[in-house]
Amino acid sequence: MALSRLSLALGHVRRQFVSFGIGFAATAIGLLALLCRHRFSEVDCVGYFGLYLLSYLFLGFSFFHLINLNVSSLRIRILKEYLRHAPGALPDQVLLDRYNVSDMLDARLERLQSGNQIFFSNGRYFARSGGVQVIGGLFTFLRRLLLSP
Amino acid sequence: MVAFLTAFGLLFASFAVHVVLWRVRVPRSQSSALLLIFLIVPVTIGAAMWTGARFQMTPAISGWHWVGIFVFQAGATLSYLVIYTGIEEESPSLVIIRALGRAGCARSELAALVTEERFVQPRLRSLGSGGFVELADGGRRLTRKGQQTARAATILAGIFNIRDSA
Repeated sequence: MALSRLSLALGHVRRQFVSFGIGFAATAIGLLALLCRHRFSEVDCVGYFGLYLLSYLFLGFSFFHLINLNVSSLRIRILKEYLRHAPGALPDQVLLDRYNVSDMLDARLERLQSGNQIFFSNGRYFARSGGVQVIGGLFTFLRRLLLSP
Repeated sequence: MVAFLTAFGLLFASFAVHVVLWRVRVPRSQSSALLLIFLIVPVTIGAAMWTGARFQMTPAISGWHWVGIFVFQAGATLSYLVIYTGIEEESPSLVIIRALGRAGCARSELAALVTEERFVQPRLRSLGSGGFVELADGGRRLTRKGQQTARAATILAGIFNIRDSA
Protein backbone atom coordinates (compact mmCIF):
# COMPACT_ATOMS: atom_id res chain seq x y z
CA MET A 1 0.00 0.00 0.00
CA ALA A 2 2.82 2.38 0.89
CA LEU A 3 4.58 1.66 -2.41
CA SER A 4 1.41 2.35 -4.38
CA ARG A 5 1.12 5.80 -2.77
CA LEU A 6 4.68 6.75 -3.75
CA SER A 7 5.14 8.42 -7.11
CA LEU A 8 7.77 5.97 -8.28
CA ALA A 9 8.58 5.52 -11.94
CA LEU A 10 7.08 2.03 -11.67
CA GLY A 11 3.72 0.99 -13.11
CA HIS A 12 1.14 -0.33 -10.67
CA VAL A 13 1.75 -3.95 -11.70
CA ARG A 14 5.52 -3.62 -11.12
CA ARG A 15 4.87 -1.96 -7.74
CA GLN A 16 2.67 -4.89 -6.78
CA PHE A 17 5.31 -7.37 -7.89
CA VAL A 18 7.92 -5.53 -5.81
CA SER A 19 5.59 -5.57 -2.77
CA PHE A 20 4.84 -9.23 -3.38
CA GLY A 21 8.57 -10.01 -3.63
CA ILE A 22 9.34 -8.18 -0.38
CA GLY A 23 6.53 -10.07 1.36
CA PHE A 24 7.73 -13.36 -0.12
CA ALA A 25 11.30 -12.80 1.12
CA ALA A 26 10.06 -11.77 4.59
CA THR A 27 7.80 -14.84 4.77
CA ALA A 28 10.59 -17.18 3.67
CA ILE A 29 13.06 -15.70 6.20
CA GLY A 30 10.48 -15.78 9.00
CA LEU A 31 9.58 -19.37 8.19
CA LEU A 32 13.21 -20.47 8.14
CA ALA A 33 13.83 -18.77 11.48
CA LEU A 34 10.78 -20.48 13.00
CA LEU A 35 11.63 -23.90 11.59
CA CYS A 36 15.22 -23.66 12.86
CA ARG A 37 13.94 -23.10 16.41
CA HIS A 38 11.98 -26.38 16.37
CA ARG A 39 13.36 -29.88 16.22
CA PHE A 40 11.61 -31.12 13.12
CA SER A 41 13.14 -33.71 10.84
CA GLU A 42 14.56 -32.39 7.54
CA VAL A 43 11.67 -33.88 5.60
CA ASP A 44 9.14 -32.19 7.89
CA CYS A 45 11.01 -28.88 7.61
CA VAL A 46 10.77 -29.07 3.81
CA GLY A 47 7.08 -29.98 4.09
CA TYR A 48 6.18 -27.10 6.42
CA PHE A 49 8.31 -24.63 4.46
CA GLY A 50 6.56 -25.67 1.23
CA LEU A 51 3.09 -25.62 2.79
CA TYR A 52 3.34 -22.11 4.25
CA LEU A 53 5.25 -20.60 1.35
CA LEU A 54 2.70 -21.98 -1.12
CA SER A 55 -0.07 -20.56 1.09
CA TYR A 56 1.61 -17.16 0.79
CA LEU A 57 1.87 -17.56 -3.00
CA PHE A 58 -1.80 -18.54 -3.35
CA LEU A 59 -3.04 -15.73 -1.09
CA GLY A 60 -0.73 -13.24 -2.83
CA PHE A 61 -1.98 -14.35 -6.25
CA SER A 62 -5.60 -13.93 -5.12
CA PHE A 63 -4.91 -10.51 -3.60
CA PHE A 64 -3.06 -9.38 -6.76
CA HIS A 65 -6.11 -10.28 -8.84
CA LEU A 66 -8.51 -8.70 -6.38
CA ILE A 67 -6.80 -5.32 -6.54
CA ASN A 68 -6.36 -5.60 -10.31
CA LEU A 69 -10.02 -6.29 -10.99
CA ASN A 70 -10.31 -2.62 -11.91
CA VAL A 71 -7.91 -3.22 -14.78
CA SER A 72 -8.58 -6.77 -15.83
CA SER A 73 -12.27 -7.41 -15.21
CA LEU A 74 -14.76 -6.39 -17.87
CA ARG A 75 -17.61 -6.87 -15.46
CA ILE A 76 -16.13 -4.50 -12.89
CA ARG A 77 -15.50 -1.90 -15.59
CA ILE A 78 -19.13 -2.20 -16.73
CA LEU A 79 -20.38 -1.92 -13.13
CA LYS A 80 -18.32 1.27 -12.71
CA GLU A 81 -19.91 2.70 -15.87
CA TYR A 82 -23.33 2.12 -14.30
CA LEU A 83 -22.14 3.63 -11.03
CA ARG A 84 -21.28 6.88 -12.84
CA HIS A 85 -24.97 7.10 -13.81
CA ALA A 86 -26.46 5.85 -10.54
CA PRO A 87 -29.20 6.06 -9.44
CA GLY A 88 -30.34 6.57 -13.05
CA ALA A 89 -30.48 3.87 -15.72
CA LEU A 90 -28.05 3.59 -18.62
CA PRO A 91 -29.35 2.42 -22.03
CA ASP A 92 -27.43 -0.58 -23.43
CA GLN A 93 -26.48 1.31 -26.59
CA VAL A 94 -24.91 4.17 -24.61
CA LEU A 95 -22.91 1.66 -22.58
CA LEU A 96 -21.79 -0.21 -25.70
CA ASP A 97 -20.80 3.04 -27.45
CA ARG A 98 -18.83 4.21 -24.46
CA TYR A 99 -17.28 0.85 -23.83
CA ASN A 100 -16.57 -0.26 -27.34
CA VAL A 101 -14.71 -3.42 -28.18
CA SER A 102 -12.23 -1.66 -30.47
CA ASP A 103 -10.85 0.37 -27.54
CA MET A 104 -10.92 -2.78 -25.43
CA LEU A 105 -8.85 -4.66 -28.02
CA ASP A 106 -6.31 -1.82 -28.19
CA ALA A 107 -6.03 -1.71 -24.39
CA ARG A 108 -5.48 -5.48 -24.21
CA LEU A 109 -2.90 -5.45 -27.00
CA GLU A 110 -1.05 -2.60 -25.31
CA ARG A 111 -1.12 -4.42 -21.97
CA LEU A 112 0.08 -7.70 -23.47
CA GLN A 113 2.87 -5.89 -25.30
CA SER A 114 4.00 -3.94 -22.27
CA GLY A 115 3.92 -7.20 -20.29
CA ASN A 116 6.25 -8.70 -22.92
CA GLN A 117 3.74 -11.44 -23.66
CA ILE A 118 3.25 -10.55 -27.33
CA PHE A 119 5.19 -8.52 -29.90
CA PHE A 120 4.39 -6.62 -33.08
CA SER A 121 6.35 -7.21 -36.27
CA ASN A 122 5.58 -6.53 -39.97
CA GLY A 123 2.00 -5.54 -39.26
CA ARG A 124 1.21 -8.66 -37.23
CA TYR A 125 1.09 -9.54 -33.56
CA PHE A 126 2.90 -12.66 -32.34
CA ALA A 127 2.85 -14.45 -28.99
CA ARG A 128 6.16 -14.92 -27.25
CA SER A 129 6.82 -18.56 -26.57
CA GLY A 130 6.94 -19.68 -22.97
CA GLY A 131 4.74 -18.81 -20.01
CA VAL A 132 1.87 -17.12 -21.78
CA GLN A 133 1.38 -19.96 -24.27
CA VAL A 134 1.50 -22.53 -21.49
CA ILE A 135 -1.19 -20.56 -19.62
CA GLY A 136 -3.30 -20.35 -22.80
CA GLY A 137 -2.96 -24.12 -23.27
CA LEU A 138 -3.90 -24.77 -19.63
CA PHE A 139 -7.08 -22.70 -19.92
CA THR A 140 -8.04 -24.46 -23.17
CA PHE A 141 -7.50 -27.84 -21.47
CA LEU A 142 -9.57 -26.86 -18.41
CA ARG A 143 -12.40 -25.48 -20.58
CA ARG A 144 -12.51 -28.77 -22.49
CA LEU A 145 -12.32 -30.85 -19.32
CA LEU A 146 -15.02 -28.95 -17.44
CA LEU A 147 -17.35 -27.28 -19.88
CA SER A 148 -17.40 -29.18 -23.16
CA PRO A 149 -20.25 -31.67 -23.49
CA MET B 1 5.58 -33.73 5.43
CA VAL B 2 2.25 -35.25 6.53
CA ALA B 3 0.67 -31.78 6.69
CA PHE B 4 2.02 -30.90 3.23
CA LEU B 5 0.74 -34.12 1.65
CA THR B 6 -2.60 -33.84 3.46
CA ALA B 7 -3.04 -30.28 2.13
CA PHE B 8 -2.37 -31.42 -1.43
CA GLY B 9 -4.56 -34.49 -0.99
CA LEU B 10 -7.49 -32.36 0.20
CA LEU B 11 -6.99 -29.96 -2.71
CA PHE B 12 -6.84 -32.82 -5.21
CA ALA B 13 -9.97 -34.42 -3.70
CA SER B 14 -11.87 -31.12 -3.98
CA PHE B 15 -10.76 -30.70 -7.59
CA ALA B 16 -11.73 -34.29 -8.43
CA VAL B 17 -15.24 -33.81 -6.99
CA HIS B 18 -15.52 -30.55 -8.93
CA VAL B 19 -14.56 -32.24 -12.24
CA VAL B 20 -16.96 -35.16 -11.69
CA LEU B 21 -19.88 -32.87 -10.80
CA TRP B 22 -19.17 -30.57 -13.77
CA ARG B 23 -19.05 -33.55 -16.13
CA VAL B 24 -22.50 -34.60 -14.86
CA ARG B 25 -24.03 -31.12 -15.00
CA VAL B 26 -22.58 -27.62 -14.85
CA PRO B 27 -24.32 -25.76 -11.97
CA ARG B 28 -26.14 -22.50 -12.68
CA SER B 29 -24.21 -20.55 -10.06
CA GLN B 30 -20.76 -21.91 -10.78
CA SER B 31 -18.66 -19.79 -8.39
CA SER B 32 -20.95 -20.48 -5.41
CA ALA B 33 -20.96 -24.20 -6.22
CA LEU B 34 -17.15 -24.18 -6.43
CA LEU B 35 -16.85 -22.45 -3.07
CA LEU B 36 -19.17 -25.02 -1.50
CA ILE B 37 -17.24 -27.97 -2.96
CA PHE B 38 -13.87 -26.57 -1.90
CA LEU B 39 -15.26 -26.01 1.60
CA ILE B 40 -17.32 -29.17 2.17
CA VAL B 41 -14.85 -31.73 0.75
CA PRO B 42 -11.78 -30.72 2.83
CA VAL B 43 -13.81 -30.14 6.00
CA THR B 44 -15.46 -33.58 5.66
CA ILE B 45 -12.22 -35.43 4.91
CA GLY B 46 -10.36 -33.38 7.53
CA ALA B 47 -12.96 -34.25 10.18
CA ALA B 48 -12.72 -37.94 9.22
CA MET B 49 -8.90 -37.81 9.45
CA TRP B 50 -9.01 -36.03 12.80
CA THR B 51 -11.42 -38.65 14.16
CA GLY B 52 -9.31 -41.43 12.62
CA ALA B 53 -6.19 -40.06 14.33
CA ARG B 54 -7.88 -40.40 17.73
CA PHE B 55 -8.19 -44.12 17.07
CA GLN B 56 -4.70 -44.25 15.53
CA MET B 57 -6.13 -45.09 12.11
CA THR B 58 -4.73 -41.99 10.35
CA PRO B 59 -1.57 -39.96 11.04
CA ALA B 60 -1.89 -37.40 13.85
CA ILE B 61 -1.72 -33.75 12.76
CA SER B 62 -1.54 -31.03 15.42
CA GLY B 63 -4.20 -28.32 15.68
CA TRP B 64 -1.82 -25.63 14.43
CA HIS B 65 -0.94 -27.63 11.37
CA TRP B 66 -4.63 -28.10 10.61
CA VAL B 67 -4.86 -24.30 10.71
CA GLY B 68 -1.95 -24.17 8.22
CA ILE B 69 -3.64 -26.75 6.00
CA PHE B 70 -6.88 -24.75 5.92
CA VAL B 71 -5.03 -21.47 5.22
CA PHE B 72 -3.39 -23.28 2.29
CA GLN B 73 -6.79 -24.59 1.22
CA ALA B 74 -8.33 -21.10 1.43
CA GLY B 75 -5.53 -19.59 -0.65
CA ALA B 76 -5.69 -22.35 -3.25
CA THR B 77 -9.49 -22.09 -3.44
CA LEU B 78 -9.40 -18.32 -3.95
CA SER B 79 -6.69 -18.71 -6.59
CA TYR B 80 -8.72 -21.35 -8.40
CA LEU B 81 -11.81 -19.12 -8.27
CA VAL B 82 -9.75 -16.39 -9.96
CA ILE B 83 -8.58 -18.85 -12.61
CA TYR B 84 -12.08 -20.23 -13.03
CA THR B 85 -13.48 -16.84 -14.06
CA GLY B 86 -11.24 -17.16 -17.15
CA ILE B 87 -12.63 -20.65 -17.81
CA GLU B 88 -16.28 -19.83 -17.18
CA GLU B 89 -16.29 -16.82 -19.51
CA GLU B 90 -13.74 -16.31 -22.22
CA SER B 91 -11.18 -13.64 -21.47
CA PRO B 92 -10.29 -11.30 -24.37
CA SER B 93 -6.58 -11.63 -23.51
CA LEU B 94 -6.73 -15.42 -23.66
CA VAL B 95 -8.66 -15.38 -26.93
CA ILE B 96 -6.00 -13.05 -28.38
CA ILE B 97 -3.14 -15.28 -27.19
CA ARG B 98 -4.85 -18.41 -28.51
CA ALA B 99 -5.56 -16.79 -31.88
CA LEU B 100 -1.98 -15.62 -32.38
CA GLY B 101 -0.64 -19.17 -32.55
CA ARG B 102 2.52 -19.52 -34.62
CA ALA B 103 1.48 -17.43 -37.62
CA GLY B 104 0.45 -14.34 -35.66
CA CYS B 105 -2.52 -12.10 -36.49
CA ALA B 106 -3.12 -8.64 -37.92
CA ARG B 107 -5.21 -6.27 -35.80
CA SER B 108 -8.17 -6.68 -38.20
CA GLU B 109 -8.15 -10.46 -37.65
CA LEU B 110 -8.18 -9.95 -33.88
CA ALA B 111 -10.97 -7.36 -34.20
CA ALA B 112 -13.13 -10.05 -35.84
CA LEU B 113 -12.68 -12.18 -32.71
CA VAL B 114 -13.08 -9.55 -30.00
CA THR B 115 -16.73 -8.64 -30.51
CA GLU B 116 -19.57 -7.25 -28.41
CA GLU B 117 -21.55 -10.47 -28.87
CA ARG B 118 -18.70 -12.57 -27.57
CA PHE B 119 -17.50 -10.48 -24.65
CA VAL B 120 -19.79 -7.64 -23.63
CA GLN B 121 -23.28 -9.12 -24.08
CA PRO B 122 -22.62 -12.32 -22.05
CA ARG B 123 -21.23 -10.20 -19.22
CA LEU B 124 -24.27 -7.93 -19.26
CA ARG B 125 -26.47 -11.02 -19.02
CA SER B 126 -24.37 -12.48 -16.18
CA LEU B 127 -24.49 -9.17 -14.27
CA GLY B 128 -28.28 -9.32 -14.59
CA SER B 129 -28.59 -12.96 -13.53
CA GLY B 130 -26.14 -12.36 -10.67
CA GLY B 131 -28.33 -9.56 -9.32
CA PHE B 132 -25.83 -6.75 -9.92
CA VAL B 133 -27.95 -4.81 -12.44
CA GLU B 134 -31.66 -4.66 -13.22
CA LEU B 135 -33.72 -3.50 -16.17
CA ALA B 136 -35.16 -0.01 -15.69
CA ASP B 137 -36.32 2.97 -17.79
CA GLY B 138 -35.24 1.55 -21.15
CA GLY B 139 -31.81 0.56 -19.88
CA ARG B 140 -30.18 -1.03 -16.88
CA ARG B 141 -29.22 0.31 -13.48
CA LEU B 142 -27.24 -0.97 -10.53
CA THR B 143 -28.95 -2.90 -7.79
CA ARG B 144 -27.84 -2.36 -4.21
CA LYS B 145 -25.43 -5.32 -4.55
CA GLY B 146 -24.08 -3.86 -7.79
CA GLN B 147 -23.55 -0.44 -6.18
CA GLN B 148 -21.67 -1.97 -3.27
CA THR B 149 -19.43 -3.96 -5.61
CA ALA B 150 -18.71 -1.00 -7.90
CA ARG B 151 -17.97 1.26 -4.90
CA ALA B 152 -15.67 -1.35 -3.37
CA ALA B 153 -13.77 -1.61 -6.68
CA THR B 154 -13.48 2.19 -6.88
CA ILE B 155 -12.17 2.40 -3.31
CA LEU B 156 -9.66 -0.39 -3.98
CA ALA B 157 -8.44 1.34 -7.15
CA GLY B 158 -8.00 4.55 -5.14
CA ILE B 159 -6.07 2.86 -2.33
CA PHE B 160 -3.69 1.11 -4.71
CA ASN B 161 -3.46 4.00 -7.17
CA ILE B 162 -4.79 2.01 -10.11
CA ARG B 163 -6.31 3.67 -13.15
CA ASP B 164 -9.06 2.08 -15.23
CA SER B 165 -8.32 0.21 -18.41
CA ALA B 166 -9.70 -2.91 -19.99
